[in-house]
Amino acid sequence: MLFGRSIIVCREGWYYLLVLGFVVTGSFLREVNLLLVLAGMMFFPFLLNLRTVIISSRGLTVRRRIPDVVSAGETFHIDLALSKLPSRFWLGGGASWVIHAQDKIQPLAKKPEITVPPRLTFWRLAPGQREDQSYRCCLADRGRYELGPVTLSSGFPLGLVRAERRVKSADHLIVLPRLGQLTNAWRRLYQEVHQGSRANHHKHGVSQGEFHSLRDWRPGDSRRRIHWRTTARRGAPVVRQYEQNREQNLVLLIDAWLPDGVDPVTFEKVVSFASTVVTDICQRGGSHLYLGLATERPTVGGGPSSTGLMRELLESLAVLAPASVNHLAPLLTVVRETVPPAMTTVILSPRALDLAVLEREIHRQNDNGRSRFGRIVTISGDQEIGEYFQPDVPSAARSVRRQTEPQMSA
Amino acid sequence: MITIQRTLQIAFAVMASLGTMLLGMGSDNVVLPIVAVFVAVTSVYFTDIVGWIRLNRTFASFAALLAVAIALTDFFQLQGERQLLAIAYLLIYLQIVVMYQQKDTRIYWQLFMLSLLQVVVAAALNFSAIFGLLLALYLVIALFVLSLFFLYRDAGELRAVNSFGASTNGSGQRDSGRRGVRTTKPLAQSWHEDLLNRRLVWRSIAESIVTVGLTLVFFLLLPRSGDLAMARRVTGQRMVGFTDTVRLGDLGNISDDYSSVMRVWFLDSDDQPFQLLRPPMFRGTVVNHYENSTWTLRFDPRSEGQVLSLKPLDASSGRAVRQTIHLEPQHEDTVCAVYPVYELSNNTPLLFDSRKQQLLRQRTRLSKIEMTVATTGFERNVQLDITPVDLVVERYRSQESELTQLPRVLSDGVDPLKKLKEAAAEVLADTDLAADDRIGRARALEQYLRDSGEFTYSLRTGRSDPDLDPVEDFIANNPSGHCEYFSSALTLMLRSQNIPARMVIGFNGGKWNSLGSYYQVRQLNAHSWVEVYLNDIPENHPFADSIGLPKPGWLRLDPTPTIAIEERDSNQLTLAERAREWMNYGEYLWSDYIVDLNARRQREGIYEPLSYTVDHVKALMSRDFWARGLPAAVRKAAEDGTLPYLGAWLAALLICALTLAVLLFRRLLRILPWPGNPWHWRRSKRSQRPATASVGFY
Repeated sequence: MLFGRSIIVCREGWYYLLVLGFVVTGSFLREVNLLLVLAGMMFFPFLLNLRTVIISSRGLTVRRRIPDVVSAGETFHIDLALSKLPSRFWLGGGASWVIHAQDKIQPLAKKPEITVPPRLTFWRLAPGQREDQSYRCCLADRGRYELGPVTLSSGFPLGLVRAERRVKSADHLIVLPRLGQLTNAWRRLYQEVHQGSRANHHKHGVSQGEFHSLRDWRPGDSRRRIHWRTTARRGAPVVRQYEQNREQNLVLLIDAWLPDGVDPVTFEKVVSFASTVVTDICQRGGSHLYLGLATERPTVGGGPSSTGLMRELLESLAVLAPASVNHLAPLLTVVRETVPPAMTTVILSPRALDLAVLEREIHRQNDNGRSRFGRIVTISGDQEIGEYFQPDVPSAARSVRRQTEPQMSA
Repeated sequence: MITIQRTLQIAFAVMASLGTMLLGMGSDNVVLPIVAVFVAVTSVYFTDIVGWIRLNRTFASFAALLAVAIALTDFFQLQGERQLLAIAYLLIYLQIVVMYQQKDTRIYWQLFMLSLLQVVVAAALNFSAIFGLLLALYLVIALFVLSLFFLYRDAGELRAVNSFGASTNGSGQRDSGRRGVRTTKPLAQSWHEDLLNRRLVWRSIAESIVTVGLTLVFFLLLPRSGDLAMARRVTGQRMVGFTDTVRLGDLGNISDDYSSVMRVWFLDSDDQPFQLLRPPMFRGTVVNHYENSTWTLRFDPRSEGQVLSLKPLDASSGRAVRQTIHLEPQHEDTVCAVYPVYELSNNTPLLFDSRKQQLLRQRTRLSKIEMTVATTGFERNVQLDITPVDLVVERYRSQESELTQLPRVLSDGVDPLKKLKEAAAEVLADTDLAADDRIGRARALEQYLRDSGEFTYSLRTGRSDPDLDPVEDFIANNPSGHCEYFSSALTLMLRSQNIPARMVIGFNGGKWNSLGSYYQVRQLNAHSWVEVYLNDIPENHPFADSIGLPKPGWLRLDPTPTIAIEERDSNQLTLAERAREWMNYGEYLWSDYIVDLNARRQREGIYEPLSYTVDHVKALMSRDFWARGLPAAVRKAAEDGTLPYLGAWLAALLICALTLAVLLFRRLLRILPWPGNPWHWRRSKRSQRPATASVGFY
């Protein structure tokens, strides 16, 4: 370490120093002055290289700008602003040349699996100057990530020696789960569980309820719902969305237990399925949604569907880790205490649920008074999940952003 | 537009060629540079551009092994420095193999190291000033190549790092199952190109200048421990004419040889170098016997000959000046100097051979030597034409018969020098000089050859009649020749008139270098002239008092037409000659202060002047200087008429100081953070400039 930076002699630099040592030794042993001159002519470029890299790495500050929300599998930009402080020394000030900025992205709460984003190169920064550059990346896994520190390095001009500085510019980023597509089976199931309240409902042509918002067209949407004017303006099909006249409340419980023999991919599919349901219901609006997570400390959150609720629930799904034991029973207790009674409950589990045990537990919970749980539906195991859900990538973050901020433009 | 890679290929080819050229210079090998250039050009075109010749790795490894085997065989068969050459040739063989391979980072770096090692070997073999110049050029190119190689390597790493993920996702579809970061950021090359075009060349040149400057300071100030720099390897050269046998006609072959023989400083009693009014003549060796077109040195085998130390300078020697001679390595032991020569200190590396009548060096002939001796051969910046004979040192009385020797009359009674003798007699017959007026008669014959206009100076010599003696032919039929013909003719004419004479071979003049205040003597300054033995130096000689009479002496006569000499040694310098003078001075500095810098020269040439300068600056900073010294200097300048020069110096000094002050003041303004400082960096336009965003991939 030299003045807060690491000075690294590159491999080429070691070869160069080897030859230099050979020349110096020869010049002293043979007392040949020209070899001494040659040694000087080799040594001082090395020294100049060292000086340049020290000056280049001096007085640099990094500021990172990250998107508010990103989803797994979604491409997003991270901006790095590199600034060079003006030199306050009489001598030794100067521009920074060919600075490489290497960011680091590391997931938290998992084994450290460092990912290396592309290296940015700032080829010249004069004192007092700032330059912004961006890199585009795509994180495959949901979760909480730590960004940084940024490693700044320069070997200019000769590449014999390199100065490295690690700038502590730590940021945290939550990557929301991937979204998929709910199948028609899910829609039928969803209709079915709310059938009792729907019986008295009169259809009003294609428009049910009052106009609520616009959203992207999805397979299965009726062409009659397409809002042609907006479609023409955007260049992509957009459909009208209507407020449901009748509330379709739902309690969604996630069984996070991942016993041996169950593929972790199935667990990820469960999380993705839940995220898609949450997104779907929150985007439709007009209902109440509760999400319960059967983890070591069972939690339940929810309320009237909204964008804020969607983000909150997606973030909790983003950091959901598989549990080593079954926490479903404690979760049901929490649900009974916090969720309004008689709501339809859907339990998602990566494993095959023992329905008899589950029914006993629910019966025990209901037995203490009036019934707390409404209809209960379980979707468990990879095959059953596959019936209701197809993994796909309309990103959750995009959905959140669409509701909260204007579209990013180039 | 030319790409970085193409520029790198060409730059590497130039660097490799130059490195091999330096090595070729060191090993006196002409073929190497030609081969190097050929390989460089063909490899750039056929390997890098067209791609017709690309050695695969196996074949290249095999060729490299073969080269190593050849070099090792040579190495064990050769001795000494030739073993170094075997290593050098190995480096060249390997370079050739590498240059015909497809270039990548590894190959480029191998090329760089091979070239660098060649220069290292060359530095141990080559000591000429031109090597120094080419070394500086090599430095510029090498730094440029290194910088370019850095950018190239950097671009390669960028390509490798930033292609992460893209290679597995060429279809452009979403890579949903893959962990990690995926990017589609294109490799931005613009900054490389920009750097290459706008800055890199100038930066390399600037770095080279700084490097050379720092290297010089480091090299000159690094303390030396001895005189060992003199022990460098030199091949040595042959000094023309310095053998005991001189055959007429040999001189024409070396007339255009610009090789340096020696540099000579003449220093007066105040240690100030001075220039002579006429070119000096440095006596080397003498020849006294002429037979069959050949001059040889003969001496009586019975005479006592020995090698003596030089006679020390004493009060009876007369007014002396010092002559400092830096003699280049030679094959001969003979040392040329202005005679008579006296010793100044006990460690003068010179001896005097009393039989051969010449100065000899004590040390090995293959090293450069420096000596300072005294001479009384000057008076009022003119070299005396009579050199007194020291009877203790020169035992010529017993050899006087040799000084009147003439070729024998042939068996058929024909005198081989009949016309020459007739001409000499005729010339003297036309004068009314007394028979004992040896000087007058000698000068008459000298003038006949030199000033009569019948004889012309020419380096192209040839006999009109091969049966005749060349000197007889020169006098009778072909009155054109170089100095050996003139001096031979005069010597023989003098002897024909019973005047003892001998031919002297040495150097005439040399080029006065006003920058270094020395005479640069080269091989082309080789000259021959005549010395006449005088039993008694006449009392009416203009410098009789300086010589110190009575004593015998040698009268120097030069019958060669002076115009030929003057044309070569004129000090009326044209621009080209001035440039040559600078070059010569540079060669001197390179030779004496780089190649042969030793402890003594470092002390005398660097430490002492540096110490003097420091003392001088201290004196300038003292109050006494400003109170007394400066006014006194101004008064003195006014008296001497040099006030304008002093004023110009002071004005220049003042401008420099003001410029420095303004620069410091501006710097101060930029960093002082007082409220409202409009020059402060936070308020400057640069810092207000909006951030530049590099978002080319959007």
